[in-house]
Amino acid sequence: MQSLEAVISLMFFLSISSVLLSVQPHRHIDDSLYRLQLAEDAWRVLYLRGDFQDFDEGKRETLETDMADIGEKTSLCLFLDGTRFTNCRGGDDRHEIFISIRRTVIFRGKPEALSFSLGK
Amino acid sequence: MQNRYKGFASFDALFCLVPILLMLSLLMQASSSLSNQAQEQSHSQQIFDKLVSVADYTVKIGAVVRYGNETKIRYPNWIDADALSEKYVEDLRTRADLEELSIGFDPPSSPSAFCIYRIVVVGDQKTITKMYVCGG
Repeated sequence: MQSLEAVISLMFFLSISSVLLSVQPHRHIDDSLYRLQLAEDAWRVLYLRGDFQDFDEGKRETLETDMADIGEKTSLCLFLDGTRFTNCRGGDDRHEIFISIRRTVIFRGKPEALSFSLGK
Repeated sequence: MQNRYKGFASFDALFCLVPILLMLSLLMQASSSLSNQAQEQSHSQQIFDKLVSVADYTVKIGAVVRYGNETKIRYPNWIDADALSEKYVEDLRTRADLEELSIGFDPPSSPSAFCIYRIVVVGDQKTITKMYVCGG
């Protein structure tokens, strides 16, 4: 009799355990597509403002002013890797990058593939 | 002697049954709660995805500046503020099957279920601004 009870108890314990283990922690809304769209927005806005025309070190002030404007309105940090253009100083360790896209621009007269990142 | 054992067995089974029933009811409550949570999560994701689609359509096709008589070249992310009319928003709301939808450059005054924004430029000066898309 005792072994029967033990078996029944074990079965219920296992069933409850399996239910509890299968409970997923509260999932957040998947906004990966939205993040990608925000990165493309920021890039597109800089492009529309003409920041990538005759693009070289001389464009730093114009580009960083527009980056700062976007950053001020959205609280986002923008990084153009390879050129060190950004609106948030301090390096990668101080900022959390949450999306990067690759874009090709004419930089110093040569086509260059740059990584454009958004972070906080 | 045999009767005494049978008595013990049923008494034992009775005590065994109570916790089993308790555990069963707990399990049913837990599964019902999980199911509700999953439904809410799915509904929220659906609304969010609809707003993302509405916002993307607006910044790429729906309300962008167009130039040229025949070609009508589109300029994604350059928003024609006049195109964001009430009729445009209402049409989008119906197509997206949303209960409420608002699109504008000012932060929403009434609390909506969800609000997202897109980075755009407006006007001839291409002023950088946020376009809010809210709804539920």
